[in-house]
Amino acid sequence: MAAPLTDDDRAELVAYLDGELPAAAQRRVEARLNSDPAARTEVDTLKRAWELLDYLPRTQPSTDFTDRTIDRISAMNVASATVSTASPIVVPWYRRTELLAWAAALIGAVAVGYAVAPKPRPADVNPETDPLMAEKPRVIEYLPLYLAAENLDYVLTLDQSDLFADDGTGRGSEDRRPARRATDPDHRDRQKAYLTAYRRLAPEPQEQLRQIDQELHEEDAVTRGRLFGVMDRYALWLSRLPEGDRQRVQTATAGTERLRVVRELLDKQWLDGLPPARKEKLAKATAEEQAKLIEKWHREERDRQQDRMFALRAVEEMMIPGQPERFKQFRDDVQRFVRTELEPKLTAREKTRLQAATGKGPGTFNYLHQVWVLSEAKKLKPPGTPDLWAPFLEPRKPIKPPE
Amino acid sequence: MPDGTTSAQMALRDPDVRLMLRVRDSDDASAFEELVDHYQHRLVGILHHILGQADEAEDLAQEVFLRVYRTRKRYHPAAKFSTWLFTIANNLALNALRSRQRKPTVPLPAQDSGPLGARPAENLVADGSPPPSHRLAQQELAAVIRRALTGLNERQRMAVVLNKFEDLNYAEIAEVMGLSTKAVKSLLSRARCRLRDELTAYLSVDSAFIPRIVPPTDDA
Repeated sequence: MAAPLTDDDRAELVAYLDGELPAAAQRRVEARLNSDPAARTEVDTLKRAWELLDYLPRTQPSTDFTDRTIDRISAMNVASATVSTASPIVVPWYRRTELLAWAAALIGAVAVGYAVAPKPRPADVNPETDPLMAEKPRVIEYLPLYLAAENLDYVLTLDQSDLFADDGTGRGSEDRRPARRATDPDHRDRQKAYLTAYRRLAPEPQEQLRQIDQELHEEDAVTRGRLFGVMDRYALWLSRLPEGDRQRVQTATAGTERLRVVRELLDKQWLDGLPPARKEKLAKATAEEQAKLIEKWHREERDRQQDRMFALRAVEEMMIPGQPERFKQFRDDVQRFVRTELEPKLTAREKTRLQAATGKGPGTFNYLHQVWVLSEAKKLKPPGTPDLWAPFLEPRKPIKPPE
Repeated sequence: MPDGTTSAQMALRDPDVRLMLRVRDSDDASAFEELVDHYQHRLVGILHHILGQADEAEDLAQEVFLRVYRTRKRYHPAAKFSTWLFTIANNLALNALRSRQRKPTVPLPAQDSGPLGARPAENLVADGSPPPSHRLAQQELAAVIRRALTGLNERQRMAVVLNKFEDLNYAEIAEVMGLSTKAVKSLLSRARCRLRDELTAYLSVDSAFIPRIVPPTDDA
């Protein structure tokens, strides 16, 4: 009978499993395994326990992990810029092919609202050596957005209004990752243009821009990301307005007055963009009917937008390895749950509601939201983890009727 | 360059060393971003296994990258970049765990619940109801395994995670943890025996009943 296993024997067996033994030791272990059933059992159980670790789920970092990390480093650099000679890692304004053109137009246009210093344009601005790039890198990089926004209170007003919320088209949501300078040929030209524009401003507006930058970066990362999205969409919209309209916006006081002008222009754009048949219908309607129609069309648009957001999110989700199988399983489980547990408890009216929500299929927002709501009402626990249910818990946002 | 031959040799072997040298020598933002992009998943994954909490793991991973950036001027490539990165991660993780022990107000969760609280499946497990699906069985098993892993002492856990999930050999683990190879061998042996003892009841689980592909993500 073989001698009982000691701690050293076990260490040898583990090292054998890990392929860490030299050839001679490996042969010794193999010989023992051939003759000692206890050693074989030991190796087998150690191996199986080790394989069980494969069942642990893999954690994914947040999608904005890199952005937030680079952002913190940028802030760290800005804070230490006065005492350090190291050149900082800058978070540059992300490249976009049309950006330089619209930013230049925007800078020229919104400067109407600012006191422009009567200084001559610097003959040759060099972003590589200019001390402003070391002192205020973010203010320069985000200059077009800050110029359009003017102050944080106005950005918050815009944010609350939902007028420039993320609509799922990707506008204003993709452009704040730090540019890779090596692959961004416009980076230097853009910095040069922004530096020149910044220098032309009088000290007071320069201070205003520094302040908005500071206040924005005092916000938490999630809020800051959202506000940058709002500023981006707003600046883009502003840059595309006809000159007269843009001046109307910029000369109104930043706040509720300017928001009123913005809303008025957006409503006008929306009405102008209606299909001819709808325009005709609207023209023939009474004032009361017009209001109802506009409200209805707004609601439909909001629904389409939310469907698009949901679809986009679903596509992103499906990019995660294994997620399509997981979601399919979830959908199947939910259908089974509806059939066997939920439906028997529903009233005729609730059944009709659920049937209406089924619409294009059992994986749609409406259907899953209704299943959630009805399950809650019946105190039933539907299958699926909270992360799968999270998108379906809240109803669609109510529309905000035009004021 | 002060690093001479060693640096050049390492840089040739490991493209990440080359990136880090660009960060060190010219504060190259795009090189640093590439490193963050490349290692964030692995780092957050490792730290989640060590700390047991996804949000804490992400915060600490960010601290690791900040430490890398702060100490960039002192970087001297003597091994693969990942070894240096994991050494920093090991030090910060051990500090975090010790600090947590000094202030034992944060429980080490054994479940994979997200911010919404226990998942429906976990509630069922807690209720003792029979598992209605394969996925539930897998979640239950994952919770048990995480409990077993967090039951190891911090050094055993680190060695296990580096060996199992990063495929580091004993010599590399020794370098990351500042131990001898012999000590790593003994550490891993004790850790694996303890894991086996904790998981004995599950060693007979028929893997055909537990689909592995289902939960690739966690509550991060």
